[in-house]
Amino acid sequence: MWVTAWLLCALQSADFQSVLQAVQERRWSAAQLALSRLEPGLERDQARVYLHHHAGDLRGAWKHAQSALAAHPDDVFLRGRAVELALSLNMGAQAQALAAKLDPTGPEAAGRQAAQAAWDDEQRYQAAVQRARLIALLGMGLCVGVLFWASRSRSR
Amino acid sequence: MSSSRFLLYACAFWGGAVVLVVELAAVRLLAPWFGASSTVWTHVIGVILLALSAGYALGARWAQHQRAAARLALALFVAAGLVVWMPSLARWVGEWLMPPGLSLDRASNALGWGSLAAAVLLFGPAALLLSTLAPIATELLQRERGGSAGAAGGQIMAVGTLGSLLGSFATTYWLLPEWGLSWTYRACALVLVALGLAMLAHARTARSSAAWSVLAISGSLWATPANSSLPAGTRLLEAVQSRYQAVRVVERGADAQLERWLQVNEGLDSFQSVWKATPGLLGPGYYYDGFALPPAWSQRESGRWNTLVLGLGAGSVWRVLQGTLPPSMELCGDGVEIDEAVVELGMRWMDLEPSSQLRVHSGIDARVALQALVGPYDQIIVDAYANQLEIPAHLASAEFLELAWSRLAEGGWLCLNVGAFGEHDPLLQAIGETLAQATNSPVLALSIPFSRNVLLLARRAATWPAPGSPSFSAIQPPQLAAWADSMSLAGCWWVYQPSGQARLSDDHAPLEALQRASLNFAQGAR
Repeated sequence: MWVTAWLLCALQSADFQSVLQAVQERRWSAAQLALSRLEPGLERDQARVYLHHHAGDLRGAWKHAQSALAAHPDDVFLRGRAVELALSLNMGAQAQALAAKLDPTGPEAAGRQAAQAAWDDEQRYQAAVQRARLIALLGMGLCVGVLFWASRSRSR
Repeated sequence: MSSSRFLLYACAFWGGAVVLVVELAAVRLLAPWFGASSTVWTHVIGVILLALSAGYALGARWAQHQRAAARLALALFVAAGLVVWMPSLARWVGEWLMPPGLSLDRASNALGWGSLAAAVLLFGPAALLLSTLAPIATELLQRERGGSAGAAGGQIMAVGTLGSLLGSFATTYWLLPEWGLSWTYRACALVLVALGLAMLAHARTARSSAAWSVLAISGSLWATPANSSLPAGTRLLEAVQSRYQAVRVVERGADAQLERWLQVNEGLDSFQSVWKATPGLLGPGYYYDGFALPPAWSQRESGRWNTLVLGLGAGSVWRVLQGTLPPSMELCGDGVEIDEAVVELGMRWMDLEPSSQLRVHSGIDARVALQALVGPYDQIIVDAYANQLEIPAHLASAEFLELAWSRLAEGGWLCLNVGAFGEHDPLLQAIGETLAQATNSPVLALSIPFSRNVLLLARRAATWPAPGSPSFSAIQPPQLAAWADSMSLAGCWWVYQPSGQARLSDDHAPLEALQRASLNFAQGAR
């Protein structure tokens, strides 16, 4: 939400505003058309990520956000949007890594907290997998051990 | 036959039966956390086979002991104690190994290793002990009556296998449907204790282990049955064990926001059917809305819209169509759902109302039903999943798709729902290319917004509207038009053309491997 507000307040080109307007009115083809009129650059990258995110193309938006961030690593809008997308796609590690560079005192603090929570979940998940792997291997190893021990004893 | 000989045969018979009951019910027990996929089945069977192998070797060693009968009684009692606590321990083990709140696409590693570890912890020890019965019984039989070891072993194995036969049929057709999981395991434990007591009387020993066993069984009567916890904010309306899976209906929200999900097995963040109070579009994230596109694109204002839904669930597709077809059009057709319990829950909680116009065929496999249902249909929807995330191989092969294609009317639509992670998902590519080849027509793939579903559409003797064209989104109702428009964005749709060979056939359809590749792709795409 804060990102949208920030974006709408920002000084942008008319074509950029057209994309935002069309997205808000859920006129996706019109938004796409307006997007195609934008010159390549930060503004177009921002608008593309915004459009695909709102249209529900989460994976597409995530890919666009990643490539845009590679070109504009300091852009707060792209980073904030990427954090939201990573959270929507259950990518706790990526969300946390992206959110680490957001200003903790700024309006994006909520994104940082959500990313931290997602990261904690990711850690819990990894710990559970490791635990399960250890138990499975130990248990099956024990069975094999019993098998060989019992077989060897019998043959004496 | 002497009483001791009878007792040995009984041990072999019921030991074999209990092993099979434990094995078949094991997947049900794990399903609330790990599902009932072929992966889970493989892990359960693998662990039990390993435990059986070790147990046979251990039993062979114990059989040489002077007091082999006492060992046999001990194995029976301890196994009974382990079996009776399985349902309660499953909850603890499941929650320990499977963190709550995981999404389906993130859960693959936890499902794999977790189910293997859970099988080791829960079923390995009991299976190991139960398999010691056969060699000990063989030894005791031979000691008692003399003769060859081969004859004694053969007879014990024959009786034990008959017990396994009984266990397998009884579990599926009687024990689980009638008694449920907890009482099935308790019954097994009681049988083992009864045998143990009889053996105890015969061997005059091991009384302390009998006392412990009886104590364990008594304690289990107060234990709660296994069930995965509900997501926050949801209420459980009903849960049943069907012949195929654990099924439950949950509810969340209130008033206009009220919605119900029908979930199977572990649930995670997925659903098999969705209900909202008003028929029509379900809203963002629900792929069912995509099935309303073909009738809207067909631009028919009156008459009948004849549908065949393979994988009807609780009838979500029909409710979407009922709310979006023009008022002068009548929805009719057939719905096929293999699990009768799903249909019953749908009728109780999700307004599924079979009629002469909307016929429900439950308890029948979709492919078998398709042989009998000749159509012609305006729309065939294939939305059949097994074990939450597996598309059954026989419902994705070229032969099946050709058969479905032959059931369509001119201008009819074949629609497949595939859980996938984008255009380059290997599972989706295989199914999309197979569909294109089987129907010899281009297949439109639409990535459903805010979901991990892709809709595949092929049209018989006609074309579908091109995404981005006016006819693609100039449809009714307006919400559907806006939704269609959002899918016309670049990257949200693509086309599979018929070329080369169908990748999936009845002879070779590696759906399980493709499913694993799909989940790996989802993780790698990050």
